Amino acid sequence: MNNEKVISDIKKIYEKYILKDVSSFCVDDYNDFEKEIWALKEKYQLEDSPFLLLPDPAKDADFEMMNASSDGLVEPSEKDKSKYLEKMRISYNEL
Amino acid sequence: MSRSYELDSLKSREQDAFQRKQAAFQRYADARDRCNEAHDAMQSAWEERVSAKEEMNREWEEMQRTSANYREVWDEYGRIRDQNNYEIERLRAEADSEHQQMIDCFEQASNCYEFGDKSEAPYWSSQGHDHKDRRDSINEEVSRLCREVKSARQNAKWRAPKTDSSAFHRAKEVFERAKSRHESAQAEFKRLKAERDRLKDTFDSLQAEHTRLKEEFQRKLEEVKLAKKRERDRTLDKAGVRWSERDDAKIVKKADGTTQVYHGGLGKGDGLGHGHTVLDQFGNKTYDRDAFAEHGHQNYADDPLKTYPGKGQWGELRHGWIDDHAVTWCEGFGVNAGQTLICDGHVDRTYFDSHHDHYGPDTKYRSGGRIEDVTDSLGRKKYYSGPGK
Repeated sequence: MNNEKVISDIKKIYEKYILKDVSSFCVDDYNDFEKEIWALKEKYQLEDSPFLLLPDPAKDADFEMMNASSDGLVEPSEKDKSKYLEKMRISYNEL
Repeated sequence: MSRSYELDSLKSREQDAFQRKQAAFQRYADARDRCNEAHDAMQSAWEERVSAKEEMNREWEEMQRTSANYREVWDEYGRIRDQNNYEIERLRAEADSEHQQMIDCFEQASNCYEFGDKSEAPYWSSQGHDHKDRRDSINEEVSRLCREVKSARQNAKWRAPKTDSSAFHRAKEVFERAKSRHESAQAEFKRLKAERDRLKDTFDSLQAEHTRLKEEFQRKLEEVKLAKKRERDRTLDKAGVRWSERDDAKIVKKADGTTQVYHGGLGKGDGLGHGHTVLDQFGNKTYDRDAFAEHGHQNYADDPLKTYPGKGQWGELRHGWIDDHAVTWCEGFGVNAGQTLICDGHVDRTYFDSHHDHYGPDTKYRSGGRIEDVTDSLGRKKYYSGPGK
């Protein structure tokens, strides 16, 4: 199934950029995660945003990180990173 | 020009001194009123004391006058009594002598009749009766003198009864009470006067402190005004504002470090048809439009607009203009395609990264909202104030 392939790729992107310790996670990981997830739209010719395939906790985490990192331009605090990674880990487990 | 904290501090100290001075004045005014009331009470008590003393003096004089009459009347009685007593003593001795001679004569007459020459008996009897008559006459005179003394005494008692000093003593008691009340009121007045004087000294001291701080504040205010005027003149010089437009010119310092100068036109600085000059943070003129002149790019200085490399899913950061509004901005691509980050003024990369607003549709989650509505929980949308906001 094409959808299963997409989910599989999403999991790999999670594993590459998100499933990390707070100490090794940086704003570039966030930007690269966003970039590669969005690239799936073209790769699989998706009509809708691939972000819609992510479980709800990912959406909440994304909005919080957009604010904490000032749209991906500023390194967020350790506390904000920790909250983000925790929600993303939950969303990964729901995939 | 930034606020003068020294001036603020002086103003605060002056106001504090003013409050303390006012409170001290209120305490002094209260004490003054109490003192005045005590003075009135003391004066009233003094008048009562004077009145009571006058009454006491009148009673004293009346008592003295009565006493003089008493002495005069009884002295006169005393003289009559002493004079009559002396005469009475003398007459009584004379009467005793006549009585004894009367007895002797009657005894001689009896002896002559019984044992001697009887013819001599009438002679001695006649002599005895003469002595008796003189004795009785003298006794009559003694009785008259005694009646005269008794009559003089009755007359003195009637003319000068014993002196009554009770009215004087009552008046004296009234005076003593009035005197005591006056002394008590006087002591209270003196105590309140001392308190009033002490509070007046405190008030004078605080008033002097307030006056000193007020003068100090005024001096500092003049310094600050002069410094502000100098800075204003320097800014207007740099902006090249005409002398005729300077009084009404308005200068606004922006958070991005630029200085906006509004001048000319109708009314005050930023009135209808005003001119507009912008100085960057280094004092360089970046925009200059005369009063009533057209808006447009011709008013911008020819400085090259800066750019900074892109970051993340955001393209090159650029300085630019929207009409005559300076902005720094960048466009998104990839997942941020169709979105814009923007802020007022020409700012550097570091400032922009944490001071921008975010506009555009929500492409990631298709929420139907604009991105600033779904993400801006931090209260942004305050860094851009230009057209289209």
